Amino acid sequence: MHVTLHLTTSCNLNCSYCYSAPSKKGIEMTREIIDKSIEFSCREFNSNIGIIFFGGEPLLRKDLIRYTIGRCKSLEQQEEHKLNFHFKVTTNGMLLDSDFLKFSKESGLNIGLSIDGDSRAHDLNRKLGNGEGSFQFIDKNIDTLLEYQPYVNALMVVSPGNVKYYARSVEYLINRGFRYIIASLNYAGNWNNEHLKELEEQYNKMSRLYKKWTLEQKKFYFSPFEMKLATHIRGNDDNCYSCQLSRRQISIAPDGKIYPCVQFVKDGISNADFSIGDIWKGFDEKRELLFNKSVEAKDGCKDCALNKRCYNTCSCLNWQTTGQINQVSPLLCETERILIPIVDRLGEEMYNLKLPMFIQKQYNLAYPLLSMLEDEITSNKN
Amino acid sequence: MEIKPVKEFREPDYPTLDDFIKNPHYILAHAPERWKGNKILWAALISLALGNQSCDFIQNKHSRIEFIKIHEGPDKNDSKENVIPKDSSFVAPLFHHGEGIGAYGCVVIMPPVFINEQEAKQIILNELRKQNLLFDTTAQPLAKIILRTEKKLWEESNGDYKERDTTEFRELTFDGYNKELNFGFCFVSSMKYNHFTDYEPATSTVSIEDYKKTSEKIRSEIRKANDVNAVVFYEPIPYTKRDEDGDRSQRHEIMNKRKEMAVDSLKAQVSDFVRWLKTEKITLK
Repeated sequence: MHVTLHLTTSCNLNCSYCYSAPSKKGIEMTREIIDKSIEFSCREFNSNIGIIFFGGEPLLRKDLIRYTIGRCKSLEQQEEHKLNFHFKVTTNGMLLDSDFLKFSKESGLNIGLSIDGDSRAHDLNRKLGNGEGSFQFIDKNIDTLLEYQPYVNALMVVSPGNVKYYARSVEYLINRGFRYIIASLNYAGNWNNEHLKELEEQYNKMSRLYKKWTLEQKKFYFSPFEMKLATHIRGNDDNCYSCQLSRRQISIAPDGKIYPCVQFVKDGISNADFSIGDIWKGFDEKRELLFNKSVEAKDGCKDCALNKRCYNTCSCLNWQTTGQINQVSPLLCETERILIPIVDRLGEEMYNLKLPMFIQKQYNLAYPLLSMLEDEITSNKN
Repeated sequence: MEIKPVKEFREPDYPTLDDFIKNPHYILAHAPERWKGNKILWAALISLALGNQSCDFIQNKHSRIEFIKIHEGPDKNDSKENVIPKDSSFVAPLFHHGEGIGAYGCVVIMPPVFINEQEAKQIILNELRKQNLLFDTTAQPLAKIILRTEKKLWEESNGDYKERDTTEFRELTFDGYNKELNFGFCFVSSMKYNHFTDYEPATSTVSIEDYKKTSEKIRSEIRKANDVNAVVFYEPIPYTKRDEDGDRSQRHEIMNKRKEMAVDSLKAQVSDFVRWLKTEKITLK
């Protein structure tokens, strides 16, 4: 189970597409709320708990991150609890420094860096309060970050404005040393047919790059393609990739209210209608109501041949784009119809060529472990 | 933009995990070279990739060991036993019955007689069935075998025709396959011949079709792929003397006779294959 702690609603950036835009008067999570959140999580979810630090910008409250991890570690040491925590933080990278990176490595805190690609793609949306692009400020931290966290996730957002840089941005990130590219479309953006044509072209470019890298036996992960290949290769098991609204993850706002997913928290105050309980009383009946609504068959999707491979199960995306948990966005429908055939052609091509990296990555369940073992062997040699 | 349900969508042609998991040796056969070269990684791959399928795998290996003894047909002059690595497949030798050569052109030197592809498939299946060797004509091996074939294309250019080199990549389909044993047979019909024969310049107006040569190419590619156990049969095209064509009144009868010879030759190929399995103590049951 993943529990996202929204440590603060303040942020040092002002990104145009942010779904939890910074509030003028930042709300901070207190240590008491953190303690209660951990207590609640241990009570509800037992042994394996992933704590994710989110914001605003969570690195504005490094002290709270250190505090939370410290509390969890001490609980882990108490044998009677049999607890196992793991930690992740999603950051804009502005406040990364060696001290924090050293701490993250020692404490097993995994970092996800929000970066949209090269400077052109990134600076279009990810700006400081004064309108200046933030790329130059995070770029200088990347080498150190990769040194401490070679498996760091690069979290890309592709919007209508920067879609033309999509493939080039992924290539830039891979060449920069990132291996895990988690790319999402900004579905709330103002997409038109021209943008969709561009998106198709960019997916085709990505398909060629993906094949090239696989041929070169490079190790990398490009989420839109990997997840779509998985919907065919792993079939129903692919459910593990979906959030299952509040069943696999929840978000806790600075005030202790529980939400089904990060996007519902917004500024931590204004969207309380979607709160599904709080850390003192636990879940209320809304949790089940929302979940049941989220798994209802979607209008227009029932008879679609791509239904089982479509991302239409993402309730927060549906809600963000249509205002309804169980109503799919036409934009999502368009983009899925573009993506799936491109990924399938790529899958067929790579399978026919029997590319070893493709076969290992997609069909060998032990691949992540083997890949890490290989890295370990290589780093020891060096 | 609107929601448009897709009415029909072709199932993609790469396998699912369920298909793959039944054949764990593919994971080993298609490991990156750098993994194979590292003892620790290779050992880890074998134990981790097989995981809880190891019992099935060992069982499969046993059934394979029964019939996998040598990599290909024994060289009669070589008494040495050619033991193959456990994780490789084997391909039976080509069994020579029928010349497998025909010729076309302005002067028909040796008009070939072909067995209809469906008919040939049926003959092979029947002969194998007599030995309790059962093959499914609709199934295909999980691993695909793609053959590269060099061709020439004639193209019109400014009113003139010019040859252009081209390379085709085409998947080999098996005519019968036993999924449990991962064993397939392939009959090199005129269609397969056209698909997989490399271009050779014609020296006259007569072109020669050498089915054995193409069959050997197919065998060799199956071996290289190292994914499926297989045997290749070919269009026999029995040898006949040229003067048999002389009497046109008897042509129909001659052609029928040749057809019978072709069928007998194909049966002989299958029979040799079965004998070879027995000689090598290879069990397909």
